[in-house]
Amino acid sequence: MLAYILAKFLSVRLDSLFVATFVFLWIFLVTAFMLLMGLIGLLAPTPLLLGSLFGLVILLVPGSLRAKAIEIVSDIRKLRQAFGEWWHSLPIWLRWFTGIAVLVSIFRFAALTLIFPPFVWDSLTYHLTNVAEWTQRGRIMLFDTSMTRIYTPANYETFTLWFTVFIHHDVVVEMAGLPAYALAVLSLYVIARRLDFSRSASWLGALSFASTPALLLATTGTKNDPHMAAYYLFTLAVVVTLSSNPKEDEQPNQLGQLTLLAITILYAFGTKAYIAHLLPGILIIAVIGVKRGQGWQRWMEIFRDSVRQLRNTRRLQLLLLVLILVAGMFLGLFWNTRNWVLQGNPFYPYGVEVGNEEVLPGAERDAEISFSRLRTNFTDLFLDKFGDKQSRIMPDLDNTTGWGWFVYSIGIPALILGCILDRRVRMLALGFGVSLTLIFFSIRPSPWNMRYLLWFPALFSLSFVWLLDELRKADHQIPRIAIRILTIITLSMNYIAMLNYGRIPPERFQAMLAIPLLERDAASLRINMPGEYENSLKIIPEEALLGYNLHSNGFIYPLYRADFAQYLVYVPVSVQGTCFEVAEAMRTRGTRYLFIAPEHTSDSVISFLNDCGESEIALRERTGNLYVLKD
Amino acid sequence: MSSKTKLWRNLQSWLVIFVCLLLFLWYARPQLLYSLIFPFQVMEWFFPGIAEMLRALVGT
Repeated sequence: MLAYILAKFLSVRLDSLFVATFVFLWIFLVTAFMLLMGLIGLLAPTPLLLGSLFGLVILLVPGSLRAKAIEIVSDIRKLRQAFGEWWHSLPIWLRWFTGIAVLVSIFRFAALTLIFPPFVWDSLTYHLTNVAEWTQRGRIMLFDTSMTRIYTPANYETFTLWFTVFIHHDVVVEMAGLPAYALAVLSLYVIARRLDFSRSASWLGALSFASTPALLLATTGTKNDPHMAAYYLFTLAVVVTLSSNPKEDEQPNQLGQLTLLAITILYAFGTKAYIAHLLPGILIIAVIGVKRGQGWQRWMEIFRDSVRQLRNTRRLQLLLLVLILVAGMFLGLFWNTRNWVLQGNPFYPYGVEVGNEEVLPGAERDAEISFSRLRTNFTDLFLDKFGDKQSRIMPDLDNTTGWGWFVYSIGIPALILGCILDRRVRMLALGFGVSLTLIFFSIRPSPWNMRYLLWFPALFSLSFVWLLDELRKADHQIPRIAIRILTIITLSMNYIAMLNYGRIPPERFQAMLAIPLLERDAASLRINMPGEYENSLKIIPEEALLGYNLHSNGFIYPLYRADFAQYLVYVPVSVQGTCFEVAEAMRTRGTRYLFIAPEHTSDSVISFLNDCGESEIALRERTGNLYVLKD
Repeated sequence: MSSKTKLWRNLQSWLVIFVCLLLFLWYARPQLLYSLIFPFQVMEWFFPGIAEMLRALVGT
């Protein structure tokens, strides 16, 4: 309800931007609420429901807000009517294709979420470890672990709590990427429409982006990258809307949209700091202007109008604006401020290096901006990843771009031709190119780093929208029909290839289906999971406190179990110490069990504990990777 | 619109389609076709007939 009222307050009219704004504000408000409740230790269904109810009552006290809330009934009717008109304006073949694509997507997302537990590497190491610990404790807090990356900005993890806290289970946790997926696709449509492309071309462009394998895989991958792609594109959508001339039937709301812009950027910053590397690209698009006359001069007008609007704003509206901005600052700056206070480095666990000098020490590698990284990243992109030729597209995007059939068949020629013939495509390419270059200055070269670029294929889709509109001007029907057929084929190929993440063999599929829905632990999906996890969880009683020693890139999350029933404690092990010291560390932390796993615990610790187990001095080896205190 | 512009526009449309088709064929290499086969293996378990048909279509 609040998301709806705010969307009315910050948007201009009931159109696609309004829907995108609503989706973003819902994510924003859920995160703010979860963070607030989490910090005061009230992350449980009853306090959350009571808190929401209380908020709703407070919200409906002021008359003007109540009036806006009551409008929801007539607005839903208007939106339904507008949707009906929009739907019938699309050509029949596109309606059919959309219907099938939506049905397949719903089925695919539901099946992947329900059949498979989370299995993507980084989510099992730190993203979901935070979610599991906070869900268990009912509080957002730091905890003792070998995983220093739990310190990184965590708006995504906080938002994900909404999918776990109420049912105290991870069965739908993979759905936390779906709102971001919807926002990214809607934003692309908004950008295309605001650049005056036709409705059907814009929608087909949005569908083409929706079918990008890298985005499809990341959406249910329980990582924050699809969220970042969504915020990048939504920021661009708001910028393009602000700088374009208002339509005949709309009252400009520059102040509201500037606020929306500010909170989107702040929210993205609290999700992953690399938004700072991407924003200059959008800034360039704003300053130069996608269309003539929409550059910095237009922004001067916008700021002047906003100041005028601010002067005429009523006190209650002003209060609401201030509250929204405060919430934005809270979500944008909380994590870094916490790290600064606790560790003396806002970017902890990453250190910061300037020149050859470390100015801010960190626990992990230093953040680095260098030409050598830029060169290596571009070389890797064009020599190793481009064309997805090294291997199949899989969730970690190992040496592939994950851009898929559509981008390589139609997207690339559309972009090249668009850059030559159309200013809008040229300006978009410039902005996206600047963002790409700047992020390549800083990301660590690796086979898996294309996940930072999930937003980039949107450029190909926007160029394709231009191409479709151009082809409408041609005399012949055949090229038009041919491009439609090829588009449908390539999008279908993208969907088919990604039906089961491109990596889960039928016997694993069958094995997962044989396990009851609520018992599908992350440990039971053995595609990248050592068997030791599942075997140990069969032995250890749920009510026991489980000690673990896993290194800073090891899977912690599977040990919590799907229903977060297993409580964990980190047990440090020094290979210079004695077995008695390990036993003492376990006793002090209140656990009888110590779990380790090959490739997830350092080899020296494994070998040291093996010796302890064999000599049976203080520890007994229960299985090859589970040690129990000797009575 | 002059006939020259018209001709150029039409030529351009045909060229785009031609390039797209070429790129499509370039992208469709064995390991990528395998990505398509991979879900079919799962599909075979659900719907053997459809999987068989798709397998024949992709040519393995």
